[in-house]
Amino acid sequence: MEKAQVVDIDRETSPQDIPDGELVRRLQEKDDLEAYEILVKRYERQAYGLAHTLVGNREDARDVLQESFFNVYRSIRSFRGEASFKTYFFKILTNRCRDFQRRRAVWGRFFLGRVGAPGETPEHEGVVEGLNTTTPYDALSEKELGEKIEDILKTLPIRQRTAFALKVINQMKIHEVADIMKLSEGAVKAHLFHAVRKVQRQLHSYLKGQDEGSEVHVV
Amino acid sequence: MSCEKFETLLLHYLDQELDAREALSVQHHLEECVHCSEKLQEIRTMREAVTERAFPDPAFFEDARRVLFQKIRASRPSSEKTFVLRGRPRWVPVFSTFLLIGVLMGLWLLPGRYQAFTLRQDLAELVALETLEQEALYEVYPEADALLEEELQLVEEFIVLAEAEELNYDAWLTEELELLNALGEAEELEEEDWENLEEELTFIEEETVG
Repeated sequence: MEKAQVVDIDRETSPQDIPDGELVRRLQEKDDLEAYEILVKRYERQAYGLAHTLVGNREDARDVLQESFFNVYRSIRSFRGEASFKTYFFKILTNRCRDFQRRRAVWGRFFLGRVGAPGETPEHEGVVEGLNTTTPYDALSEKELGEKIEDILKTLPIRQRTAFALKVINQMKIHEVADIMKLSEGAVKAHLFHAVRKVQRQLHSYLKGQDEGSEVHVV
Repeated sequence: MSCEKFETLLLHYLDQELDAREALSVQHHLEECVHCSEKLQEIRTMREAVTERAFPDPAFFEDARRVLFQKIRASRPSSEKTFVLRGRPRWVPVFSTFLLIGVLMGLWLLPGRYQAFTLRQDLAELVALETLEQEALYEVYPEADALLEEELQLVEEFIVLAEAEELNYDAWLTEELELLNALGEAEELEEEDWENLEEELTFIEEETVG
């Protein structure tokens, strides 16, 4: 009976429409890698958005992402569905990113004699879309603005950066961010406000510095 | 409500996460306030810029996925093996349990009991590998880590209390300052972390006083 229902879903539902719960069940019961691939495709972009913001560069983000998806696969049988798969996965990913940063700090301290800052070798991939806005940010080129924000994000404390990545970049709901970060919604809002305000302030100081610099140059 | 208060709501307004009353209030304010309208636009622009940069092209994900699934497939035990962890038939766990009990009893009865001990030890080490690795890392900064966790716990409590308007502000602030000093004394915090904590405290202070 149950088998027939699964077949129906296969025939009538496109992979994108299959709920997470059904995919997880297939993975748990049948080790169905196709089901897992749908889940991976569903969350890889958001996961990358978080990992990239937390670890600071593309290669490390990819490593952390692969490690997290691999660990989730290995431990999927212990997932009991108390929280959604999305929350479960992002909690694991967040922990992985934090572990990665700690590991990098330890290695930096012991072997390089310093603490490695996230994104020591920032890459400048991607293109920022056109900004049809009237904000002070217009003074920066699109590429410059994106790079500057990334640089500022690297200076934020880990919780502010995590909240920023989950909410501003990944556009998750506040309650989802709170679940993932194991914080109250109020705490998440406070971290977010800090993060956004710091980015805005630092962008403004940067722009102000640029203005003054250009004025001096003109004079 | 001041502009500062409205600013705390702008991101949630943009994401339509405010209740109807709050959303209407922000909307009315935005119709009159150039400063907050600009801040809203800044958030929107910031999000566009950072989101565009945050995501690489589809080929990157395809490649990452290919490597991931290669690793997953390589980690799966082949169907010919007896000790299958995933997708195993129902009789396998029963059989495996009896076999394991038999082996352990055999090892225990043998004169070289240490063999069973070694086996258990190896298994335990295997299972705890990642935990040990992480614990080792935590050991490097035990004090700072604990203090930081405590500090964050306090901030959370503060917010809950502030929301319930039951905060003994002076007592909390004293506690918070002591904690920050303790963190400073631990000398495990980077200057940047220290500045961030101080800034966070200033913000909380402003919020409470305000």
